[in-house]
Amino acid sequence: MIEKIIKIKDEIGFHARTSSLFAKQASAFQSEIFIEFNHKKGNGKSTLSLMTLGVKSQDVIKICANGIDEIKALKTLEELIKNNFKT
Amino acid sequence: MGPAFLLNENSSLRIVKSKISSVKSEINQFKKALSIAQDKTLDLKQKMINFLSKEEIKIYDAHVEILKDPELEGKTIDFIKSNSCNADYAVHEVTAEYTEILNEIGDPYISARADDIVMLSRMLILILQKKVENKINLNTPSIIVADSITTNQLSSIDTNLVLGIITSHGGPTDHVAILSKALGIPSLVGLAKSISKIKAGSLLIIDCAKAQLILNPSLFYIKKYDLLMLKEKHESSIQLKKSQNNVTTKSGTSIEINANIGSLNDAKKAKSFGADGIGLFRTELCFLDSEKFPDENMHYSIYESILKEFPKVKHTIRLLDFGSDKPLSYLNNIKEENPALGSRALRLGFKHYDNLLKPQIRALLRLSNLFNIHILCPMIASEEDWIQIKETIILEFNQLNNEGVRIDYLPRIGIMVEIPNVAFRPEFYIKNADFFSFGTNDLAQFLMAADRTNESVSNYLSQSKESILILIKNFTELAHKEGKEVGVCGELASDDKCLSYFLDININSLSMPPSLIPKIKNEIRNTI
Repeated sequence: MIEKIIKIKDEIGFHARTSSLFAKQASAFQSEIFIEFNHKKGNGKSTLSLMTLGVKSQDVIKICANGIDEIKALKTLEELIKNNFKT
Repeated sequence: MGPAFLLNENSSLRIVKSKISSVKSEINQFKKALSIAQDKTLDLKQKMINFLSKEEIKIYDAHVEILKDPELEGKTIDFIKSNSCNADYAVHEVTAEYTEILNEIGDPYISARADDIVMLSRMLILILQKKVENKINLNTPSIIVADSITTNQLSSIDTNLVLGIITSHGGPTDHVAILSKALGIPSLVGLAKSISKIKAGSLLIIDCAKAQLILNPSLFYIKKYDLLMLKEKHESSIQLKKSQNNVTTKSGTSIEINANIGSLNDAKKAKSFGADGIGLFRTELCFLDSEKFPDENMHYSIYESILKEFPKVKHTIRLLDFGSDKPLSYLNNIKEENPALGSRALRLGFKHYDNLLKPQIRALLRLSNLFNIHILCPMIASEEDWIQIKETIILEFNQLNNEGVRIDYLPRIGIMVEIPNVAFRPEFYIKNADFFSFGTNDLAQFLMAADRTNESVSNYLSQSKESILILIKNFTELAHKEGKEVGVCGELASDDKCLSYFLDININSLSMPPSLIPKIKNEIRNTI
C-alpha cells in the first residue's frame, strides 16, 4: 500500500462535482482507494463517501492506494487534485 | 412581476417497511431502478444542454455518478439482505444516513448537496413505487412559489411561462438557483418567512438585484418596476441586437458565427440569438420522428417549414447521419458491435438508396431554388466515398431537370471532415469539394479510439484537442490556397479557449448551439 498527503486547493473542497470526478477516476483502477481526513476514512471510489468527509478548501487529506496499479492510481489522483479537478 | 403560482408541497412519500419474500428479486428491482434513474437524469441533461454552460451541465453528471455510487448500491443491497425488507424503504434509510452526515458538516454548500441526494432518493423511491412526480402545469405566465423545487421538476416545465421562482428553502449555491440563473429566470431562494403569506394569484415582484420580494405591491411600485423592466429589456435587446450584426475583431478579422439546429424551435432560436446562418442542420429528426420511410415530399415540407423560420441566410444541411444506434421501426437494421464505426450515414444511405438517400437529395435540390442551400456530406472516408456522393447528387440534379422540375443551380457540396483519413491527406478533397466543416466530436473519437458514448473513456476525448487544432490549421492553409472555405461545427467551435486560435488561422465560420452565439460574438468583438 502507498499513501500520499496532499492539500486541496479547489475553492470549495470535496463537493458533488469534485467528489464525482475523483470517484470516477479512482474507479478506473483496480486498487482499493481510501481517503483519510479528520480521523474518518472514506471510499475513494464513492462520490457519496467522499462528500460526507466534509473536506473543505485548503484541508489536507491522505490518499491511500492498495493493489496492483496503486502507483499509477495515486499519481493520477494526485494530478487531478493538483490540477484543481480540471480534466 | 407576475401572479403567484403555488406549488403544492411535493406529495409526501409513503414509505412503509415490509417483509418481502424474495430478497433476490427485490435487489433486482433496486438495480433496475438505479439504471432507470440514470437514464432519466441523462434525458434531462440532454433537454437542458442548449440552455446551460458546460460547467452547469455537469450537475447532471454528478447526479449520475451518485446514482452509480458503489457504496450507495452496496449499502442498500446489504440493507435489503439483512432486513429482508422492501427496496424503497432501504433506499430511504440509506440515503437518509448520508444526508444526515452532510447536514451535520454544517457547511451551507455541502447541505445544499444533501438536497440533491434527497431528490435522487425520491426519484428512486418513486420509480420503485411506480409513481410519477408531481408535474408543474402552468398555463399562464406566473411566478412559482414553493417550499422547494427540484432541478428535475424545473427541467421539465415550459420555462417560457415561468416569470420567476421563489422558494422557502435553499441557498444561492443550490442547483435550482444555478439552473434558474442559467435559464435567465429571476429567483429568490431561502425566503422561509415571507412565503407562507403568499396566496395563489397574488401579485408579486421579485427584485434580484436587491434580493427583495414585494408582496401585493402598491400602484407606485408597480409603475416603478414596470419602468425598470422596460429599461432592462431595452438593454438586453441592445446586446442581442449587437449579436444580429456580423462580427469582427478589433483588428478587423471577420468570421461567420452560425447555428447548429435540428428542429423548428432551434431555427427560431438561431434567428433570435443572432446567428449569421445555419452551419449545421441535422436532418435526423425527419427519419426518427417518422413511422415509415419519409418520402421526397415529406422531406421537402419538413425542411421548408424549418428554413422558413430563418430564410435568406446560408443553410448548410447535412445528409442523414445515423446508424444502427438508432433503430427505426421501418428499417430492418442489422445490429452492429460498433455502430459509430459501422454502416452509418451515407454508408447506410446508399444501402437503402431509393428509400433513404434519394428522396432526401431530391428534396434538398428542389429546395435550393428557394433557399441558399449547401449540402454537407457526413462520414466521408475515402476518395471513392466522395466521388460516389458527388456523382449521385449531380445525377439526381440532371434527372430532376429532365423531369421538367427546373433546378437553377447545383448547390455547393461540401465534406464534413470527421474521419482522420480525410483530415490527414486533404489534397484530393480540397481540390474537388466546395467547402469543408470540421466535425470535431467524431474526429476526436476516431483519433483517440474512444467511444463518445462511453463515459469511462471520456477523458481521452479532451486530450485530442491539440492534435485536432493542428489538423484544422494545416487543412485550412491548404484550402485557402484553393479559395475554399473551412468551418468548425463540433464542440470545439464554442470552446472559448480555441477562439483566438481559430481567428489566427482565419477559419471562415464557427457553428454552435444558438444560445451560445451572443456570448461568443461578444468575445470576438473584444478580441484584438
